[in-house]
Order: sequence, then C-alpha cells, then structure tokens
Amino acid sequence: MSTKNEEMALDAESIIKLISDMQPQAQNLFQSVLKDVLDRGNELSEVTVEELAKKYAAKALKLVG
Amino acid sequence: MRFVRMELNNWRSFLGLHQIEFAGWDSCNVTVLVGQNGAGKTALLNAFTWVLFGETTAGFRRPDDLFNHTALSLIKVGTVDKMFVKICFDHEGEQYVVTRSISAERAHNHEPPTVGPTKFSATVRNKTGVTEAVDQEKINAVLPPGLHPFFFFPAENIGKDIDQNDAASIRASMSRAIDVLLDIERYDNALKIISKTLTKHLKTPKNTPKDATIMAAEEEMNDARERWESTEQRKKKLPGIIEKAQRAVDKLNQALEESDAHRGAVEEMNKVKDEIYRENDNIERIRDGQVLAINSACGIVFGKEIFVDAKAALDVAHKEGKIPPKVSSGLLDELIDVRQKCICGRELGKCELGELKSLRSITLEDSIAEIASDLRGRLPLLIETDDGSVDKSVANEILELDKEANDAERRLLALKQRLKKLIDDQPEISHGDPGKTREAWQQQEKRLLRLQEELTDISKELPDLELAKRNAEKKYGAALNRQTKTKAIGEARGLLTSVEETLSKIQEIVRTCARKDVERAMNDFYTPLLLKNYCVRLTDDFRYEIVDESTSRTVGASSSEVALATFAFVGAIAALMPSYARLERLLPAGDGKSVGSLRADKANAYPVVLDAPYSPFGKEYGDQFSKVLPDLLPQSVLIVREDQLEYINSMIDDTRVGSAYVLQLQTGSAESKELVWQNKKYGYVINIEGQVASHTKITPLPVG
Repeated sequence: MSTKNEEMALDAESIIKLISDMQPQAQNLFQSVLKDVLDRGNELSEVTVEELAKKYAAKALKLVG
Repeated sequence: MRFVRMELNNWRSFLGLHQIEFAGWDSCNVTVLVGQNGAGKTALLNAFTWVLFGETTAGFRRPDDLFNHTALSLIKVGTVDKMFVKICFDHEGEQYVVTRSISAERAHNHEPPTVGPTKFSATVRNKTGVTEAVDQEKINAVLPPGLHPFFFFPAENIGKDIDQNDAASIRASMSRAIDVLLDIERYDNALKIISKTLTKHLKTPKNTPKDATIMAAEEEMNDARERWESTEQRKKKLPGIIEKAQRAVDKLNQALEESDAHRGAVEEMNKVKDEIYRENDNIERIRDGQVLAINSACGIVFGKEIFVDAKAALDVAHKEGKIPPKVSSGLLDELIDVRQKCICGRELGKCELGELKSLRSITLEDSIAEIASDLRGRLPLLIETDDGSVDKSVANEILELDKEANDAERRLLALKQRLKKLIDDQPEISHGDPGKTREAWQQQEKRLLRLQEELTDISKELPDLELAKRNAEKKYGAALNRQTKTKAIGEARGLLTSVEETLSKIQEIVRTCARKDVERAMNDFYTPLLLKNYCVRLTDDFRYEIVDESTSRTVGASSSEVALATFAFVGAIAALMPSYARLERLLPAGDGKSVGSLRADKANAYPVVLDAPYSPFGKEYGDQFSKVLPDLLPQSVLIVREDQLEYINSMIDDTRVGSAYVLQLQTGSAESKELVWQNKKYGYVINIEGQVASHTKITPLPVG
C-alpha cells in the first residue's frame, strides 16, 4: 500500500491570505456567516435565509456604527 | 477512518446475530464477502448506509421492509425482539460505535407484531479514554451523507449505465460529489445570505441629500436661528429702552409744562395716552372673553364627557373637604417653614412637625381649591346643554366679542393717529430754547411711539420666527440623518461586498484547485489500474475525458476503461476526503492558520465498500484491479459473487485479504451449491427462484 504524501494544489495559505486581507469587521462577518451556515446545515429554507439576511444587515450596520 | 466491526441482528435476510470483523491494518487490508444472488449482498451494502445515515441505496428493493420476516414471525405474545445494525470504526484516534435499531412487539396471537420507530445511538471514545454520546451530525461531519454513494459503491450497475451511454448522469453525480467534498454549498448559502442582505435589507437609499443640500439646510437653519435670537434679544431689551424713552419724555414734558400753550396739548396727549392704555386693556379683555367663549363652545361640542368626569372628580374632592380646603395650605406652609409656635405658645416638636407635613402633603393649594370650587359650580351648566351643540347665545357672544374687539382696535388706531398728530402739531415754546426743546420732545415722543409699536410687532412676529427656526432645524436634522444613514449603509455594504468577493474568490480557488487535485488523485488510481498509456483529464465543469498520454488526445475508451475511471474517482474522493474535511472544518472557525499546506495522504484515505466490483470488467482488467486495489486504498471491503472469486485468488495468494465471509442461505427451499475457497470446498445453498425467501447465515472463511 502506497503512503506517498503529495502537496496538493489546494493551498490553505492562499485562502488564509484572502481572509486576512479583509478588514477586521469584514473578517468578523465572514466567520460569523460561515459558522451560521455550518450550524444550520446546508439545506437552508427561505425563512432561514431571510432571518440571517436581516441579522447580517443589522450586524454590518452595528460594526460600522 | 477504518471500519473495525459490524454486527447485524435480524437485518433483512440475516436472521439472528451476525458479526463481521474487517481487515484493514498493515498490508492485509481487504475484506471479502462472498454470496450468490439473493443471499443478501446488496442488503449488506445497505447495512452500512442504513446504520450510518438511515438511508439505503437507490437500487435497494423494499427499503421499508428491514426487519427479518422469520424473526418477526417468531416473536411470542407479550415479548419484544429487536433488529439492529451496529458498526464500530476508528477515526482520527477516536473510536466510534453507531447503532440503528427497530423494535417489534406482538400484542395478540392472531395479529402481526407492531414494528416501532427507528432509533439511533452513537458514542465516541476519545483519545483520553472518555466515552460520550454523539448525534447524527457528528457522524455526518466524519462522513458526509452526500458522499455515501461513493464510499458504499454499488458497482454492478456501472457497466450497464455506461452501455446505455449514461455517462452524463455519472458525470453529474461526480460533480455533485465534488461539491459535497468541498462543501461548496456552504459558500453558496453564505453568498445567498449576503446577496439577500445587500439587495433587500441594506439597499442604498434613494434621494439621498447631497452635501450641497445639507449645507443649504444648515445655512437656512442658522439664518432662522439668528433671526429668532436677535428678535428675542430685542424683545427683552425693548421694555428697558421704552422705560428710558418714557423717562426722557417725562423730563422734557416737565420742561415744556412751563409753556401754557404746550400744557394744554400735553394734557390732551396724556388723556389720549390714557385712552390708548385703556383701549389696549379693553382689547385684551375682549380677546380673553373670546377665548373663554370659544373654549366653552369647544368643550360643549367635543368634551362633554370630560366635563362629566371632571365634575365627578371634583364632587369627590368636595366630599372629602378638599374644595374649599378645611385647612389653609398657606397657614400650614407658614407653620412648617418658620417653625412658628402654635397658638398655645408651645414650640412644635419633631412629631408634630411630621404630622403637619403629612397633613400638608394631602392639602390642596388654596388657589387651586378656589379654582376647583369655581369650576365645580360652572361645570353643570356646560354638562346640562342637552343636545351637545353650541348654544346660539355662545355663538352670538363669540361674534359680538369679535365685533367689539374690531371696533376697539379701530378706536385704538384712531387714538394713536390722534396722538401722533398732537405731537406733530405742537406749537413753538416761547421761552428758553423752545424750538430745541420742542424738537427734542417731538423726537422722543415719536421714538417712544415707534418703540411701543416695535414691541407689539415683535411680540406678534416672534412665534412665527420660532416656528420657522424649529422647522429649519427639523429639516436640517432630517437631511443630516438621511445622509448619516446613507453613509452607514454605504460602509456596511462595503464590508458585506468584501465578504461576498472573498467568498466568491475562495469558492473559485477551491473549485480550480480541487479540479487539479481530483484529476491528479484520479490518475494516481487510474494509471496503475490501466494496462494502457491513458490518463484522465478533468474539464472545468468536472467532466472527465480519457486521454492518450502520448498524444494528449481524447480516446474512445472501452466500457471497462470508463468503469475504471469511475473507480478512480471513487478512490480519489476517498483519498482527498481527510485533507479537504480538515480544511473545511477549520476555515469557518477562523483557525485556518493551523491548516497549513494540504497533502494528499493516501495512508489515511477513507475505506471504500464495493458491491460487485468486477461486474463491469473483462478478465484482463478484473485481474489488474485485484492486483493493484490493496495498494491504492488503505481499507476496502469487496462484496462479490461466487463466480467472481477467481479475481480474488491473486489477492489471497499475495496475503492481502485479511478477512473473508460467505453468506449462506439456510432453508430447505434452496439449491445446494459448493464454494471453492483456497482449494477447499464449502457447502452452501442458493435460493430457488419463486420460493419463499430464505434467511442467511454469515460464516467466516479461513484466510492466510
């Protein structure tokens, strides 16, 4: 059985750089929205999308306010 | 991830308890399960998907009929039996035990048993030896449900699909699998939320005031404030100025009184002035009367009930002796404030003072009590107006008062004109410096008149100026608010847009890189399996092509070669799953730094269960598949027909098979057969077509 380790094309560093290039408030929103989606599972209903959209409008305004 | 053991109890054709130990350590990593058609091979494949996800594969017949029929029929009245599948597996140093079960109970002899709902339970023993219960989500996080068609792969139909030129559906399911592998849907959902936020809840407001508009509103507000403030200041100063002017006039009057000719005029002027004052008072009185009359009329029309309520309240107050007050509030205040001695001459003590204060707190002010008493007397007249309409006499009174006020104002105007004329017509004074004194007096009188008129005008103008100031402030505030809100929305939109762009870029990176990674991983599997110099090329939309490496041209591959490409894809998913799962778990938590470089670690690839893997191949590729499979995956479970055993022999010879079982049918309505395993014969039976379903026994076969 082969146990060869190969470097993959998918590079976490490039993704991390994209995230760290965002403003801190945007990073906050980014992590929060991905976590919300993760917590709720991928089958989001329209009601959930609406509820989260409202939440992020308020959150973004609070972050800039 | 490694499968360790599976237990089946009354699962489909498997009557009673059966156990399978999986190979999967070191090089001896293949488990073989042999069975004829109808023996339960597909049921065994579905035991994996059912216990882990509560689902069955697409081609599984009667998916709701899982409880072994013989076991059900053997349940006695008042007893319970259970069907369950239990699987134990290791993952990242933790030991998982997942069980899904259904209970059945017979209540009456003549009725079939009642089958209960499906129950799920799972535990994890962590690296420190602590065991805890976990839910389905935890299992899904280890092995995404969307990928189970690949990890538990019914290979029997591959060839058929390819023969039917159904490569499009295979490609579509591969594309879906990659989406699941990369959790692309999470980015899609996050983007959907951000997009809805931007388009619905954070729209840029229309008609946002521009800076010039704000500045104009601010200027207008400052002007209005300035006008009001200067007028207000002037109003405050005018009485003092008027007083000074009056004193100057009085002084000049005194000087001029020496002149007889002037004295008469001054006397007349003073009379006129007195009349002016009286007329002013008269007008004020008339207007007050008008207000009272109008209030009274309004009260009749709009507020009769209020009067009734007011009278009731006043009646209560009267009954309690508060109007007029039994005790004078003024006297009490005086006693409390100056601590006077009481009538008997003794000084008030603390206790008495406290009582006085307590009494004062419930005593109405004398003046309030007087007004209340007066009001109580007048209210019945208002209430008793029978039809609620304004009494004609009240209406007439209002009109008459208005006429009277107008007449008074006309008289006032005439008086003022007369006074002005008297001042202008003053004769020259004959002694001293009469011309100069008279001129000074005339000027002072005129000035006084102007100042008084100015005060009247200002008093009239001031409420309008104040209103204009408030409106200008309101207008500026609203414009500023709108602009501030727009600015905040713009900044919030900027943040969300940058999140949207980052999500899209990450999605793009993940897709592009995943295409390369999947292509390479597929070729890692495909190249050793193929006997030709072919490789797999993945297009941007994850459609795969089989390419001749020497010419880089697409070739018309055989169905076996296409089937092998599908196996290569299954292997690629299994190999990439650990790394991608790690990345996906860590990024949203903001812990991306601990991910670092990702490596395709075949040693930690996921296990794959293949049902009838040799069906799509001819002999040549079947042998090759057996030869290389143990090296490609760290653990594989092969469920095969007896006639496919010839492909297993090379793996047995190479000691790659660590565990083997035969699925034996156990009833009389079956045909006896013999199985040759490592040159020895094993008896077993197969079901006769059209007969009642038999049950199956899982018997271990010797390995090594």
